[in-house]
Amino acid sequence: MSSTTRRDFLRLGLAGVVPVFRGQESQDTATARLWQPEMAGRPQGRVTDYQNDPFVIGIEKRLRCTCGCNLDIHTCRTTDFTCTYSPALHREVVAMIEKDMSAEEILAAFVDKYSETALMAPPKEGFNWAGYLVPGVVITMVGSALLWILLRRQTAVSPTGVAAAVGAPFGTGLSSEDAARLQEELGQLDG
Amino acid sequence: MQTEAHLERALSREASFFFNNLLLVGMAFSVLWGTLFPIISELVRGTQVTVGPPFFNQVNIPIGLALLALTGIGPLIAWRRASPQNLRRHFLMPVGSSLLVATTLVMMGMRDLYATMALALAAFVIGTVVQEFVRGSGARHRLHGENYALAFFRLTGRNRRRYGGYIVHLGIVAYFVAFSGNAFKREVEASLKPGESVDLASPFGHTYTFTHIGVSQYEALNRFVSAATLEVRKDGRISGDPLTSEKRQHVDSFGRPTFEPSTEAAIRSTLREDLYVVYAGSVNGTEETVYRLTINPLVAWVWIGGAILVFGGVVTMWPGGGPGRRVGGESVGGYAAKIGDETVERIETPEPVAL
Repeated sequence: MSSTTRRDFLRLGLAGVVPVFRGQESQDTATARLWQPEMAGRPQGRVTDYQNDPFVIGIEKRLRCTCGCNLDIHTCRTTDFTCTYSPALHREVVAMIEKDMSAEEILAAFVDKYSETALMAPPKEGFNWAGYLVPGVVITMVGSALLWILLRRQTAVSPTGVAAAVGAPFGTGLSSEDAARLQEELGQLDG
Repeated sequence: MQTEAHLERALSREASFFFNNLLLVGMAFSVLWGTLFPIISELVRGTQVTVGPPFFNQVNIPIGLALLALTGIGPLIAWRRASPQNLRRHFLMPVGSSLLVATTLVMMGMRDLYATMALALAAFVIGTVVQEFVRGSGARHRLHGENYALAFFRLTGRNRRRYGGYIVHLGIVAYFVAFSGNAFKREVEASLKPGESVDLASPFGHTYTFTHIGVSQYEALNRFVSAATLEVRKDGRISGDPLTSEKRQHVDSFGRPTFEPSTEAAIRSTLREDLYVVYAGSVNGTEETVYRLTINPLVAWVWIGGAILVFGGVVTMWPGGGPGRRVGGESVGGYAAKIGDETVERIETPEPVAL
């Protein structure tokens, strides 16, 4: 067993080599300091209820962070822990909510302060409707035009196809060339 | 140079391919339009706008869903022309499975329109693909007396382009299923002292409890690591090993920090959901830690979908075999009926009509 006597142990403890009592204090893990706090990233504040509030998050997802990341405020503050802009913008949003401002009022206040680029998507008004509608309108128009061409070709080129489509016997709509080709193929199969 | 094949009917497989391509081009156009819109807006109104993810989601999700629908519709429509009878016969099972999935999801409380539509259409495409394999294998079984497993492999092996394409469709379905999972993402931020816990409910009905164990710091090669560790319990029971997220402060040869520290998320991945634990930082330089915890449902299916897609692509492109092979030293094309697989070599067509 250990060769250290009780007296030696007491002497070592008093000399601070074995910090018996001081050690007890530092074992309070709830508030223990990190060995090198400056190496653990930017210091964070305690999480508030606002940070998990769906209403706040909903507003933040519609507002762009001004740090240049092109992310919304919520995504930036929860993924880029070095950003100093998004936490400040979050505090701005919270301050407006505490003044009982509605979501639309907060968005309008951000537009007033930071211009329309503060919004993650253009508001649906005026010329901005073109942004939302043009792709759908173009696809619909081109699709309709192609469909019209197909339907015209269908009736012009292959009138017998209508009979086939409603269940006429197989081969009714075959041209003589196709019928000969089919016979040849079937002949090869039999052979 | 004129191709032998013509688009004759609006309701034909060729036409569905055609509209499929139109949607793909349309999707590319919408991305181009969204990218250019800030410049156009500045030109027209003198005001710049931001076009971010919400815009692209609003514009592209409906197009993506239409594309998924056509993925299922295409194989069900006959080449050249479709009759009401064969449409009814082919669509019955896939549409039925789609409606069944949609009804079940709504009854289970799902209210996200796009996610419900994506999953219902996924069921539709799966129904289509399964039906095609079942019918093809069944035909081989009846014609050649092969057992179903052998019939399945020979069916695929001898019609690689067609059935490899169906496998690719399954990969696309897996992607859409994974994308729909984003609608059910759960996340919470919490500052925890050692021993403190936070709960997070999974969209699949169980509850995770995360308990902060502590932060350890140590030196590693070229970096200084701060590691925050959480114990994970699922419905009260310990679930796997603790999860550790790290801050890595890289240092130069003198031990001085270089750049900002990077964050390493701890990820636990299952087929149903991924758990992400991110160590955001410490409060006042203590072990009290700010965590960001996220449940990302169905993420694994992005990887699975990719693997299926690659496999389907390999099957499709594997040389030799299939109706696209050369006949008598000449490459041929065109349409013809295909009766039985043993006739593959004689058929002068890039794709068979049906078995």
